[in-house]
Amino acid sequence: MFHVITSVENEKSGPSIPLFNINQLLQAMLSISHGLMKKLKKEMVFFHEEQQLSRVRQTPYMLGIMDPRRFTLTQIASEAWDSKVVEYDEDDETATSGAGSFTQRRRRARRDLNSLPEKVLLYIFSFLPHQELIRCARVCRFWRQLTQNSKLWKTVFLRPEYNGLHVKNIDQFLTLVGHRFSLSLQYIELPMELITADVLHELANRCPNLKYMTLDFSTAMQLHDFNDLNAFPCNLKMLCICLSEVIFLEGFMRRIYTFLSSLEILHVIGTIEKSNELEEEVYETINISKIKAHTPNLRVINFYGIYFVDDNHIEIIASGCIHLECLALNFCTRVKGTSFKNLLLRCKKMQCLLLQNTGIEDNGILSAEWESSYINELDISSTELTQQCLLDLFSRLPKLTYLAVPNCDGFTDKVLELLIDQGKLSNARAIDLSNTVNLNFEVVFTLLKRHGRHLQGICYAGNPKVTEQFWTNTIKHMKNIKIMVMGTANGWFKKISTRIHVDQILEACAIDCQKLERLEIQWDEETLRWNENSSKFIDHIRIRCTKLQSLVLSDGEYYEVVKSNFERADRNRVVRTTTAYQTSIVSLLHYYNELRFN
Amino acid sequence: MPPTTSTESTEKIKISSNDGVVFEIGQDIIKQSSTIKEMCSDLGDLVYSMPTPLPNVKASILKPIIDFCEHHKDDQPPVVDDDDDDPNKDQFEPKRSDDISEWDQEFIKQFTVKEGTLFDIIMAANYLGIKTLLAVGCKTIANMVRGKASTEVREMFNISYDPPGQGLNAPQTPSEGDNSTPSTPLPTSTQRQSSTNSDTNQTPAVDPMNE
Repeated sequence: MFHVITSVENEKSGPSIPLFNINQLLQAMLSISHGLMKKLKKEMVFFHEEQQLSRVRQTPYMLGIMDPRRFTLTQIASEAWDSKVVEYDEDDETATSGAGSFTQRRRRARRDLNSLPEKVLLYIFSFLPHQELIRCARVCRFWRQLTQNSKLWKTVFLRPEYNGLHVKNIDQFLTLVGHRFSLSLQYIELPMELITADVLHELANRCPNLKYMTLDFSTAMQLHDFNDLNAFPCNLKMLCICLSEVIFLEGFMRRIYTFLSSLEILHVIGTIEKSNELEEEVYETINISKIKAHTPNLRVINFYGIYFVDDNHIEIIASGCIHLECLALNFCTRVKGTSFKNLLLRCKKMQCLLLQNTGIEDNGILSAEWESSYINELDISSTELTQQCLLDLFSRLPKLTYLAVPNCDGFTDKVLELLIDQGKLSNARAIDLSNTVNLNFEVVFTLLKRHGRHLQGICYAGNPKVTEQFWTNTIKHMKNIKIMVMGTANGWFKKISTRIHVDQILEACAIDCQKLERLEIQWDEETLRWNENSSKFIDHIRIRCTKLQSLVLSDGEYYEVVKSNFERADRNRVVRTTTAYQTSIVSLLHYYNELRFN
Repeated sequence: MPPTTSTESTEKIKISSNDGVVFEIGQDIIKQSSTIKEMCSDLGDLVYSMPTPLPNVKASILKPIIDFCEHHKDDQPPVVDDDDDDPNKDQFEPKRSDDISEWDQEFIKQFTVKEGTLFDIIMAANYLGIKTLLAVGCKTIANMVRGKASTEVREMFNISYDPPGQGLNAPQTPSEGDNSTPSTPLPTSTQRQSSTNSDTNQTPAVDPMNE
């Protein structure tokens, strides 16, 4: 049978005319019914597929030229008249190969997508997200086999609400873990439904390279039974646990404490985004001190939006995690800062402290010994520290590379002047000064002029007195800038009277900021001044700033003009609106990669 | 006098395509191709005396490649992040394929699927070890595939439709339920059902793959 098939293949790749003849011949001589033909066709496909498994690359492309139906007919033909078909083959080839059609066939074949080396095809597929890969698997067998290659499944997102895949059947998923993910899997995100003892056992046993795991309990109403959980991935570098509002996780956590010793990065994501009011009773749904007791190697801790976290917890952490380098407490409103003294004393390696929207108060900050710390990245956005406290704090801090103080009323001219005079921002990489009502732009101008050279990210939005003149004068000092946020939204509310010549800003960026990657201009459409000539400036920035990945504008006519300009040049997805996008300097944090979650 | 090391920045070498056309290239182009670089270090002084043959590349592809390298000669060498075994943290963000520069987009438009030249240039870039060009070519193909139904992809790349036969009782690979639409029952049994589903289904969750 097989040699018949190969001769069939040889014949197939010739021009189609002889085949039609065969069809007619077959019909005439065998008087095969259509139904019989179909059956034979299916059998043929079965054999074809078996062959495919053994000769992966050669077969698909050659067969790629022919329609499956022709297999069957030619097979019937060859079965019926073995020798005759072979002769026909030879005739066929000699008749047409004279002109080099054989080589033509070869050449045609070599230029097929499926004839590219496997490594290259995998590289192409690596640019596609998993949803696309799954669709590609239906194209042909070869592609299906490629998309199942575990190299493409190093990172697996399984939470549909965060753009991941949706697993419907856990048992089938379990077999996948072993077959497809196995040794390549490094990163996985599991939704509530998949956090079961079986899944965790499979992951522990089959995926020794799993380093990054997210367990999302946030939609949980009830905890599964974990009494028989006795294996858990033990080489984890990062664990992210999304807390639930209603369930206590101790029943799960106590089974896994012993496996956490390799952990370096811990994320515990609280429920602040889900709940609306402050809880009266605060439930500690996860036991932080126990975690700390089992994770001596933690370098980065991120508690995001957890209601019950307060200074006691920070004290506990301070006493255990001596390797701690980065502590993020964003949106943990009950943290007042009284524990910072001990924190800085014990955790000498601390470099990055993120305290956005925490409840920190002056006395806690004042008592801590900032001068003997190595902290160089600080975020105190939306906190209530006074000017006095800030003056004290900044005079004692070492040099800062990252400073974010948006929405801080206590951050006044005096504070910034102190920072400039004492040279604390001379090596700054990123500064966020947005919405600082007590800060005047003249001081900011001095800052940018003096230290703009090293600056990679600047956010200075929300000051209604700032016009394009400010920016055109400062942009030329910031040749290395990558991220820039400017402008003031809600112009009618802030009573902005002058209109902004946005063309001049674009022009300044085009001339000086070749490294610009993200630009956000928050002024409303009504505040901007532009005309038909503006497209010249849009062209200019588009051509000069080749790295520009994101240009965020306020929704309106100007946005449409810029968007269509970029789209005509095939730079899609660059231009966006402020309603949906927000640019931030967070990506310039040294610990940005470790701090990312969800 | 040819220098003893091949790292001199002023010397040009000659390379020839498989159909005999000779091109002269300088160090700033050589450094972009890991294959040519290696050839230079292997052949030593010989590279300066006779043209280095490139048996897998023809002139109609080699010329544009040289133009590409000429345009990119001032680029910084790309960070080594394409190795499969490199534990790069940035892997966890899906790789972008929409950041091809305008010049590169115009460049790659000369090569098409229909004539097969797009695959030629990718093969050549792979053989010559020019990472940037390989990336541009592969991203272009990825962009062509993105968002298309499987019938469209097959048409575009002339791939045959080879669905599994009904004679099969058990699937070869373990059937996966890692993608779904609410309407599709598991497992699907006939090829007709799965093919219609694939064509009409445009949502990110697609049918299970146990055809």
